[in-house]
Formats: sequence, C-alpha cells, structure tokens
Amino acid sequence: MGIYIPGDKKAGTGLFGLTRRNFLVSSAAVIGTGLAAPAVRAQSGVTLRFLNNETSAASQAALRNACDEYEAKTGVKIIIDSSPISGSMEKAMAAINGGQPYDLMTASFIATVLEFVHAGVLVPLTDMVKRYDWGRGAAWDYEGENWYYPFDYNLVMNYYRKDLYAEKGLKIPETSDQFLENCRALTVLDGSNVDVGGCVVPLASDSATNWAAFGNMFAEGVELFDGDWNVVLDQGENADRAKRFLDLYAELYKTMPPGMNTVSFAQLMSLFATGKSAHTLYSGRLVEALEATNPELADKYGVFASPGSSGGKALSYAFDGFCVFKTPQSEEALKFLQWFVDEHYVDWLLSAWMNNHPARMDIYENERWKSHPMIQKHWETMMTMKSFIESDDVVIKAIDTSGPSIDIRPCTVFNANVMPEMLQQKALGNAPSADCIAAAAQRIRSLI
Amino acid sequence: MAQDWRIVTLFIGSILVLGAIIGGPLVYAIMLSFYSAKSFVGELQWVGLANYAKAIQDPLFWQSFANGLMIALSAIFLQVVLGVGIALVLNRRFFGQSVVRAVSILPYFLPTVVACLIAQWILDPNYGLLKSLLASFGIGIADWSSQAFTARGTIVLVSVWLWTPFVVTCVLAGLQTIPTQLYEAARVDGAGPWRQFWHITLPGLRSVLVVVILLRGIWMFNKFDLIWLLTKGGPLNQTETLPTLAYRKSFLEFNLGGGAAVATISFLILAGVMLIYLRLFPIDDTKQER
Amino acid sequence: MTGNAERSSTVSDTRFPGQGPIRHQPSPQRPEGAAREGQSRKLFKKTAAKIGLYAAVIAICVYSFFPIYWMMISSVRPMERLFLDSSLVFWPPDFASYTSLFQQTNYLVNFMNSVLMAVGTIVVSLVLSAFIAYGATRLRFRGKTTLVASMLFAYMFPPLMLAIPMAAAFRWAGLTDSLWGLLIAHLAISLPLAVWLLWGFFKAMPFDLEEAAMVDGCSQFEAFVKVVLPLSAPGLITVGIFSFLLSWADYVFALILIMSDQQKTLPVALASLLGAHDLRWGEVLAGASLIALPLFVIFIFCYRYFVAGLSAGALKG
Repeated sequence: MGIYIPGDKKAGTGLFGLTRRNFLVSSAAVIGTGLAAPAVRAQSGVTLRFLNNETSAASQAALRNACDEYEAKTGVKIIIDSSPISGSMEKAMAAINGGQPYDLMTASFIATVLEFVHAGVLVPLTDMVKRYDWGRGAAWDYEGENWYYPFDYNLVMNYYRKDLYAEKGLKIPETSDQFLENCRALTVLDGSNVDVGGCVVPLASDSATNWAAFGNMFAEGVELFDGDWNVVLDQGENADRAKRFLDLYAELYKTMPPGMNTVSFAQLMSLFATGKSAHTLYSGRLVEALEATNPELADKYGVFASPGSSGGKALSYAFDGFCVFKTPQSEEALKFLQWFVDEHYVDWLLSAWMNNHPARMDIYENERWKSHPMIQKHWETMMTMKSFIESDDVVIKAIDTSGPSIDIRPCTVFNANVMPEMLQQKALGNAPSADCIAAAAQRIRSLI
Repeated sequence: MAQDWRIVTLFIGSILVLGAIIGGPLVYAIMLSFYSAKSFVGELQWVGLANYAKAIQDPLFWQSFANGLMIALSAIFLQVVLGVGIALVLNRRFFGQSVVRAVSILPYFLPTVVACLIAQWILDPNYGLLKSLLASFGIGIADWSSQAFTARGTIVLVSVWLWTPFVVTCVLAGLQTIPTQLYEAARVDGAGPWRQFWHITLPGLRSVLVVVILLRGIWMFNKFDLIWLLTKGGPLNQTETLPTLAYRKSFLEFNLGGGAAVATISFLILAGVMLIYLRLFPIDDTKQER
Repeated sequence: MTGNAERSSTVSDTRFPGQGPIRHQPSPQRPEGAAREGQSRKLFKKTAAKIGLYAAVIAICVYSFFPIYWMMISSVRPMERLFLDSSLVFWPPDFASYTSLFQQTNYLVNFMNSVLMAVGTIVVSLVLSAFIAYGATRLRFRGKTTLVASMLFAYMFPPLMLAIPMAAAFRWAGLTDSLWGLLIAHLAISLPLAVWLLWGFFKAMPFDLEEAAMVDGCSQFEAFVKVVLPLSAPGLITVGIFSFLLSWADYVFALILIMSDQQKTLPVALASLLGAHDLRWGEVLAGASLIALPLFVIFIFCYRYFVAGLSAGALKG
C-alpha cells in the first residue's frame, strides 16, 4: 500500500520554470540579502529608537518631521516604531527583556510609567518638567522625581447628542438617576434588541475600560484604598457607594448597544460617530473623529462630567506623555526630548488638536495653538475641558492613581484588569453587586 | 550494506539543529516553571514546585482546562463529521468538480488572523452582515461575545470553517485508497449506500482519520491565536483555555514561572492523552517496519 | 484541476450508485412492466440524487467562499458606506482603503518580510527534514520510532511558550527583533510536521529503487539525491506547502519576537491596525484581502501536488 509511482515527476522540477537547484539557490540569495539588511542599521553616530503609540496619520507625520529635522541638524538618527495603544506597554517590556530597550516612548497611563519606574528602567525628567506650570495633577512625582513629560489630559467626558436632547426635551443630567433616565429615553429598540444605544460604557478587560468606565464610580465617591493602603472597596460606606455604582451600571447596560464586551477605544468613538449611541465616553479625540467621519455630528455634540447619585461630578483621566529609558544613550535621548518639547511641542499637540488637551498651562496662551482653525471651531468644548481641570467641583480621578499617593499598588490593580472584571461579573454574570465588590476587593488584596 | 558517511553526518547534523531549536527552548521553558521573578525584569529565583502548586490550586486553571477541552472536542468532532461529508460529496462526479474542490479548500490557506477578522466583521453586533441579514427576517442578533455559549460557539465555528478543508483533503486522499472492488462486491450483496458507508468507506478511512484526529487534536488543544484574537478569553473567562492562561500569566502579569508551569502541565496532559490515543489507535502498520 | 484530481474522479464514478453502468441492469427476476416502472422510478431517483448533489455542491461553495468574498467586496466599498451598506454587489469599486493602507503603513515592507520568512522556512525545513526523515527510515540505529514519535510530542507543548525561551536565547545571540530569529521560530513549528510527513513518505518508498541505483555504482548519498528525492517530489511539495502555511499564517511568534515596524510580518501588522484609536475596518479588510490574494495564486499552482503528496505518502493506508 502507498507505493507512489510518480506520474508527473516533471512538476517537481518545473515549478515556476526554474530547476529545483536554481530555485533553491535564488531563494537562498533573496533571503540572504533581505536578512542582512537590518544588521547594516548601526551607522556612524547615534541612533535613537522611539516607540510611538499615537498612531493617527497626522501624529505620525508630525513626529517623523521633527525627527528628520533633528537628524539634519545634529546627525542623530531616530527610528520610530509604532504600536497601537493597546499593546505598547507589552511591546516596550519585550524590548527591554530582549536586551534592546527603546530610548523613548509615549506612555498613556500612569500604570505603564510606574511599572517601568518600579523596574528601574526610566530616567527622571524632573528638571525638564519643573520649568513649566502644569494643570492639576499633571506634574505628579514618585520618589521625588518626575518620570514623564505629559502632553495631554485625556479626560473622559460624557458626550451627548444636542439634537436628540432637544428632540426629547432632555436636560444635561445633574445626578446619575437623571443620566439613566436620559439614556433610557434615547434608547431605540428593534424588537428586544437595542438598535440605537442610550449610552456606551466599555466592559472589556483592557485599558480602555479601566480608563473610561469609572467616572460615575468616582462621582459616587468610591475609594479603593484608605490612607494606609488598606483595601476599603468592600468596607462600610464605600461598599454602599460601590453598590450604587454597580446597580447603576447594570441598568445602563440594558440601554447599551450589543458588543460592549469587545468595545475598546476605537469602538467607543465609532458607535457615537455612526449614530449607534446617543452618549459615549471619550477624550477630545472624538471631536476629531466626528470631523473626519461624520462632520454633521460635529455641530451637534456636547460634553458633561459624569454625575453621581447625589450630584457629585467626576472625570476619569490618563495623561499621555513622553518617557526616556535608561540606556547607554539616555543623554542623547534627553537632549532630543528637550529639543522636541522646545521646538515641536505645539506641532505635536496640534497633530491631534482636540485630543491633546494641554496639560502645560502656558499652551492656553500660545497664539499658534489658539489660532488653529479646528481649535477655534471647538473653542467652547476646549474651554469646558479646561474648566474641568481648574474647577474644584469636579473630581478628577483614575484607577491607577487611586489611594493616598502615586504608588505601584493601584497600577497593579489597573494592569490586572480587576475593576473591568468587576463590571463583567455584574453585567454579564448578573451577580449581586455586593458579591462583585467583595470579589474585586479580595482580588486586590491578593495582588498587592 | 555500509552506511554512507555523508548520510550519517547530514542526519546527525540535522538532528542537532532540530534539537537546538526545539529541544533547547522546550527544556528551558520547563525549567522556567521552577523559577519565579518579582517584576518583569527581576532576577529569577528557584521556587521548586511552588508554581505548579499555585497553578493547580487556581480554580481558573481547571476552568480553562475544561473550556479548552470542550472547545477542542466540539471543534474536532464537527471538523471530522463535516470534513467527511464534504469529501464524500466532492468525491462524486459533477460539473465543475475540480473548481469546487479547489474552492472548498481555500479557507485553509487563510492566516488565522484574517479568518478572525472576517468573522468579527460579519458577526459585529452593530454593523455586521449577520445583523442586517437577520434583521431583514425580523430576528434580533444575539451579542455573541457576551455569552459563554455563543462566544465558545463562535470560536468553534471559525475553527471549523478554517480547518475542515484539511480534513476534506486528507479524506479525499484516503478515499482514493479504498479499492473499488469492495463497493462492487457490496452492491452485488445488495448493500445500500448507508451500509456501504459504514462497512467499507469508514473502515477504509480509519487510518486517515486516526492521523487527522491526532493532528487536529494537538493543534486545537494548543490553539492560542484564534481564541485570543476573537475573545481574549472572555466573557468572564468562559473561553479562557490553558494556552491563553499561560499567555496571560507570562505576558500580562509578568509571571513567567507561572505561565511556564501552566504550559508544562498542559503539555503533560496532552501527551498523556495522545499516548493513550496512540495505544488505542496505532498509526503504524508494523508489517512495513523493517 | 487536472492530473490526480481528474484521475481520482474517474475512479470514483464507478464506485457510487447513481452513475455507474451497474445501475442500468434491470433485475432478471422481475417481470417486464415492473422493470419499466422500476426504471422510471430509478430515473426519478437519479434526478433527485443529482439535484441533491448539486444543492450540496452549491452549499459547499457558498460556505467556503462567501466569507472571503464578503471580505474582498467590503474592502472596495466606499468608506462612508462601509458601516451602513450590506449590498452583495455594487459598482464602481472604491480603492480608497487600499490607498490609505499603503500611505499609513509599511505594507510592502511587511509583505516582503512575510515572503522572506515563508521562503526561508520552506527551504530550510525541506532540507533538514529530508535528511532527518531519510536517516530515520534508512539508517540502522536504536530508538528510531522514539525519534519520530518525539516529533509529535514536541508539537504538544503550547508553541507560544517556546517563544519566551527563544526570546531569551536570541537576546544572548544578538538576534532580538531580527528576522533570523523569527525564521528559527518558524522552523521550530514547521520542522516536526515536516519530518513526520516525509518520514511516512520515505517509509512507503520501496528500498529496491535505491538498491538498484547502488548496484549501478551510486553511493547511498547519490541514490538519495538522484533517486529518492525526485521520486518524492509530491511529498516534498506537500511539506513545502505546510511549511509555507505555518510561516505565512504565524501570528504568535511574530508578535512576541518582532518589535520594530520594519521587521513586522503581515499578520502582526494587520492585527495592530485594529488596536489603534481609530477603527479602520476599510484598511483592515484591504490588508486582509492582500494577504489572501497571493495565497490563492500559490494555491492554484500547488493544489494538486499538495493533494497528491498527502494521498501518496503522508497518509498511506
């Protein structure tokens, strides 16, 4: 059985008209040249490697331009690698573990920065940061040093559709109950399924959920830790507050379009931009997305802070900023970053004009920045965003900066997706809120 | 007959290369499972069997094992049943047979990433084709990613679509090895198509199916990319399997030792099952062994 | 498809009821009228069987091809209608997604990387696995079966976890973020299968052919190169295709071992489009179509050798 009498032996040699030997030799040659190329990279002079997670075309172009200009001026070459925001921390870590750390990167979460600080792989940027006035919380330090150079706030605001609000005679909600009522009023059902959602609040186990989903929880006044880093999420008043938040979330969930479990940064925007949701949560980038994909809506949106049950207001946030890694070329990297923030900071901000909501206060007086036509057009929103960071009425908090001071512990909670999983227990598992809270608190205790 | 030294040298050389690129990492990975590190750049410290103890005490480990088993078994079952069915159809003579055979194998040539993207695009609960299709019949779409059954079902569905052609190809090949005389004899005895299938076709495909199930079993049980790209183990860990758990531990929790321990246990389980499988269904017909 | 596929179909048609000449012979015991009636019933049954067959065939085609078609047709849908429109056909196609893909990503570089990896994997896997499989069938030593069985067992360790030690070893060897490292990883996943398939192939090949060559004065090595390898062409092609598929489709190793944009292979480049701030389904589907197309071209050339190789050696009965 199985003796093969080759009927078409020619086929083996005639593939693509090459003899087998020729084929092998030429492919070997192709591989040889192709693989040799990267090794030539080490040129004379300094080469810096920059991991960029601002992957919009305009931001990539702005960075590329600046780097080309720097190379022409100083001879220092900068290789830019890009990674989407979900995955850039892992990539930077893999690079360190692989013995080829990046020299610079853009980091989007304090949880990322502290993970690196904790591992001792970053260079402090204290002198660079100290030269300017920064908005609330932006110049945070850890162990007495500043570890990154922020360029935006990434405040997570509630976006709403002004046209739909007018149509239904709704008012901007002052409490979480009113918010829920508005969401219910705006939900469009198709049979038993939500066709147009009242709101979207992300639910996946990722940084998008950690970042965007907990505004209402902070407005409720929930604390994860007390002043001595004891976990108090499931203790006393906090437990009640957290329960109110989870109950609210479960009700909101019923007004959300399907697929929340896989919603990440991009979908938070696209669901609103395509009219599939009447509210969404995002930073200023959503305005850019509306202008790019659905300009009609760009005149019909408004923003407000997440309300709590008794009228408290809160916003979640996550600074984007530049970090410099401890490498043999740290000096050069610092020099480049200094040059970049001196010469190209405004260009960089304007490459994502609404998302890069300045954390450095002098920018608000910068003529070039102010006169950007799109910022002019959405000036009102920009000033609302500014008022949020200046007003004491609005709580600004994030999962990864919970607790009495900046610390690695809440960052661990953030990176381990404890809080998103608490939401999933509630929304997908239909567990009693108290159980979800107890489980999350238990998980936090085991992690820290 | 004397053994040609060139053959011997090349054989030994190749074995050494193979051992270096597979055996080396494998041994190192198993060794890692006895170590632990504090942070992602921390020094490794010997912890003995602690990672294993932690792994098997974790309910998530056993849940992942059960999930993986469930997903793998249902995917293999459907792949084989559907694969044999399609192969039997394609083995008939009809107009355009060669083109249809070619078309039916196309999905197998797609990278997993592409197949997952297609699935996500079609199944998207807000914009997907399935949604608008069902909507035109007045049926609402279930949100596949938020329920255990539909999330697992989607993983199985995509695996079946992607890898059934492998089964089809092998079974088609196997069908050619069944002597035609057997069918003729059966027809003379008055056996209908069904009995012919059970008594001639299926036994004739036995050796092919044994290999196919073995290979698909190994591949499905170790499947990582498909699950990670589709569900990331969600909802609520309902599609978490041992490979995704190992990935999560190693790359998201920076617990290399823990991840390696999960992988090693997974390896031992699979190897044990496959040893029993090979005992029950030996691949070799020893007659040919010299 | 011609060649083997055709041959097999001519074999098959005499085998199943419904087409063979056997079906036309009326039962001798039956009276004339019953026979005629039986024949018309048979005709009816035959037509029904035919309709059923074609229905099944169409179902198979739709099932196999429609998702691919949907990907391709969506990739040329005008971007502003991508989320709203689900028409099956439309005109004219809009290639804006493709333009945008090429402007915003290193698609061509990633494509070349993938090609390099695939070609490298095919060549090295073939060479090494041929030597190993031949040695394991023809050389006399203990533990041959163990050796071949270990190929299978090497496959049972979650491949993803081999990436960690590899990353560490590559760091030591200076192969971090290098395509050479990725090539080694791709070999690690393709070689066990390659050895295993070729082993089945060589084992089924009669020893007499080489002996005859050796009697004519060839050394064993020459007999291997001049007789065994050419006769094994279908098996080698099958192994080549499997190696190609494993390398071309690999996401896991490329994700872990490759960092820089310039070294990324297609699957990773494509997947990273989805994780970004903005949802680029148009570009994603365009990229996915571009990964699939060359596969289909190769597939048209190689399909019949692939099938021939599988039937001939690897899955011998």
